[in-house]
Amino acid sequence: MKSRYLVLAGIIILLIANCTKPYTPTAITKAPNYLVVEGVINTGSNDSTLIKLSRTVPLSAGVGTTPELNATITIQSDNNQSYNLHELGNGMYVSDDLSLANTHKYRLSINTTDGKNYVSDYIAPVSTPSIDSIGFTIKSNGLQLYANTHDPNNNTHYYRWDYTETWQFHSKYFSYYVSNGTDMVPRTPSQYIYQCWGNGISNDIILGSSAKLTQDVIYQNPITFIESSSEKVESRYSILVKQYALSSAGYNYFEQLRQNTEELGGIFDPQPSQLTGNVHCTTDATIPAIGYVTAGTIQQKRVYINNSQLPNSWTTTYPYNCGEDTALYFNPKTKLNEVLLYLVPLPSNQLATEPYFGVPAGMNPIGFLYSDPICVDCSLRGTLIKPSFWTN
Amino acid sequence: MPEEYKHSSASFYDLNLGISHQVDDKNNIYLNAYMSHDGFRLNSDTTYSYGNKNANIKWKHNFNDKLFSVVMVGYDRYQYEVSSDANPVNGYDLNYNINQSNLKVDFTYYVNPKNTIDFGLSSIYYKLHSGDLEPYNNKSLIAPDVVPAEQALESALYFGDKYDLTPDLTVDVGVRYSIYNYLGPQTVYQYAPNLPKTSSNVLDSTTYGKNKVINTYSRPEIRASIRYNLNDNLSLKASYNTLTQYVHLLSNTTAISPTDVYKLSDPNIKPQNGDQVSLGIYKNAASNTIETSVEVYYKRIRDYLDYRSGATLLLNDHIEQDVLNTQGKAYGIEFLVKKTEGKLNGWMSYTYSRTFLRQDDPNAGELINNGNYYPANYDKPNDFNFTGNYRFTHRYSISLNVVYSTGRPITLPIAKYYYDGAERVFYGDRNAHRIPDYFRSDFSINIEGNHKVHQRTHNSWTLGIYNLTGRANAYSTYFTEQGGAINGYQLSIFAKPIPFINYNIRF
Repeated sequence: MKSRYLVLAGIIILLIANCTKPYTPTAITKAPNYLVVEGVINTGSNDSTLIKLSRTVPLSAGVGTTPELNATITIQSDNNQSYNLHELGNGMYVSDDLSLANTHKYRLSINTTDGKNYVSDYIAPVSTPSIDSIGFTIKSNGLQLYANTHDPNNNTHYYRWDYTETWQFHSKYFSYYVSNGTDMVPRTPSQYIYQCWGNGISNDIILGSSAKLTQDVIYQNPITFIESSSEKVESRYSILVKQYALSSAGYNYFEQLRQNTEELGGIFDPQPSQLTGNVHCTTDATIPAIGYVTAGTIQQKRVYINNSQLPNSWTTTYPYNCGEDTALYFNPKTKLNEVLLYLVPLPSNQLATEPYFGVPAGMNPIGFLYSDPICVDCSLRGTLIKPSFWTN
Repeated sequence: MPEEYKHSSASFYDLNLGISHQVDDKNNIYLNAYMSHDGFRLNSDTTYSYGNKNANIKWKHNFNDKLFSVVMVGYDRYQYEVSSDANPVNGYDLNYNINQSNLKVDFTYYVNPKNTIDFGLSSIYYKLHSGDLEPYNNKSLIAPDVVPAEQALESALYFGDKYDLTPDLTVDVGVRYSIYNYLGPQTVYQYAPNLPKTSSNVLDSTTYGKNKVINTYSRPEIRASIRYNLNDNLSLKASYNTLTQYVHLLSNTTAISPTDVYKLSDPNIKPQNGDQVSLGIYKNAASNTIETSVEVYYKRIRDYLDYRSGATLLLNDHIEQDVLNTQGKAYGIEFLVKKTEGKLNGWMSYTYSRTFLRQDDPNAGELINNGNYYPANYDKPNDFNFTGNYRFTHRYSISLNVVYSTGRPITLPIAKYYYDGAERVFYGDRNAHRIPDYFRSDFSINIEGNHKVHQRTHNSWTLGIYNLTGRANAYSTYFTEQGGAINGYQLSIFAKPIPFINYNIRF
């Protein structure tokens, strides 16, 4: 009987010198400014097409975008018709009200001031079924808005939505008095800064698909979520939802774009995503262009939601910390006219809310209550003018 | 202590145990165990460690002069752990492990001096914990997240025959038939046919109980090789074989600590398979003390997994939604020179090899790089290795080790832009760029203990310098966003010459 044993042990313990240094491969330092094209060739009757052009910016830049100005954009059809867009400014370009036939294919041709030409693929327009309804469900911490639609021809399957939202809101304090530069005078109704309309646009990509279903039905596809404490539902809220039908290729593009966020570098963050759009540079095929132009009709629907439709227990949280202070015409301690010092000079650093009659209250005001403009002037965060579409 | 060492540390150990025991003249028992652990802490932020454990026991039984069998039972475990306490609220501890229990029964039958037959069966039970996230300590608000464990059984029968047709011509052929069962407990999604596997195309989900067979794959595999001796010092070998792999590997190479994710084949993820042809020329010189060889190969790969754009690989319960099947090809040529004896010995190799993948399935919902071939994550065309030892006396010797390889491919963020109301990152083509090349040389002096015959242990010391030139090789490259700007960083772990001492004990 024979036995043999072998044990091997090795131990290394070291101090290691970590070194993190900037990594700037030439592909990044060359700072490409590729053209970014966003928009839908609108084949609705008597309707216009809106296209947005911008440029990529270096990763190290603080700002996110630079608009592309002075470009010329043409919609071209496969039967050699062309329609020019004109520039609105800030990278936005719009066509006249057209009625492009759904039976032709269309593409965009873009000439930029650097002498490059870009075209999209020819795109077969898809007609978008109308939105059946926009509704909401009450959740414990807010309301979930959704869209319902269906295509009776079972032919659409892929949908995208975006929205513009508008809401009536109020500042924390009502301001009854205003400075005219020399004294405090009562505000006339046209000078009221208590009630405003705020607005926002969607910044998520909202997609829905019925491809796996036997019928082309979209039921309660989430559009946006509003927190119960949000100022948006403080009194009356309105949302204009636009619905776009997509081809399956277009749907896949937006699906990938949705995952393409700014999160990167951590072990839990998503892998790089690559997007193959349908816009190409014809002058130099090696220059990438970003974007996926779609074509078709656009459907839209506006709904309103009143605060009275929401649970009574919900309370709005004013988005700023606000408090009131007192400014006296004559402060007995400091002998100063605080109204003249704090409230009268223009432009105002502080805004008066209401007259102060002292404790116990006297016959005439001895000063004013005042607060920060953000607590008093709603026009700092919205518009005082009622939007033209707004109905009460 | 210099600042850069303060929050960093590393430790490595490995242990090997081998026992062989002759029970009688027909029976031998062998026990082998191995354990290793490597850990390092990256700048007080992230700690990364991994370890291997395996143990097996073999029983060799000689039936007679012509037939013997080896029965082996073994267990392997690989695990890694990433933890971070950089931010107390987000401090986490992520564990991952893959366990394999093996049973193998091999028979070897010497039919006659020219003909040897091998046959047998094997079975492997896999158990995979694909991610277990826990809060780092009680200050952390991380919610625990555990990806359900995966189990599978891979069983195979094989038969091979090695036959010397003439003293200079040998053929070796074999077949293997493997059966793979994906086992419960598990919940599996069904997807609509011919549509991308995305959450919006889930039709249904089925939950299976413990050890229920969820689905089965079976594959025949073949191998054949022929070896011809042109003369005593020169031979040629040609071979063909097929490959099937039921365990997939996905790598996240865009993070500060690159992490691997393993995935077992399941109803939604097919096994990887392929085949390979190779040809080698082998020439020996100086009474077989110098061996040289040149080998070329070409390989086809089917159903290799790569990630979808924007995939999340870690803690993903339904990873089939984030991966794509790719088809690949690989080829290469390897030159090797080896000097096995003498005061100066060692080896040197140079390999040129490429691996390309392609995703051109229109039903997958996206094409990678427009459906063109692109380099795989591990495509490193040039690879050079040199190991040389020079022995002065029985007790003293020196070694030099040189490694060079092309940097691995990377997908780079190149610019950013606004689209649909949010800021996005523009990435270049998949794996279109490369991290810097890798170069390292190590030097060491080995001092053997004394060579008295009757001592219980043999000890040796190794003193050396790791990374002699101090080159800052990239361990990882990653990009992070801070205050709106996105900056790239390269992390190097052994960025300076590192002196080390290694003590080996042999019982």
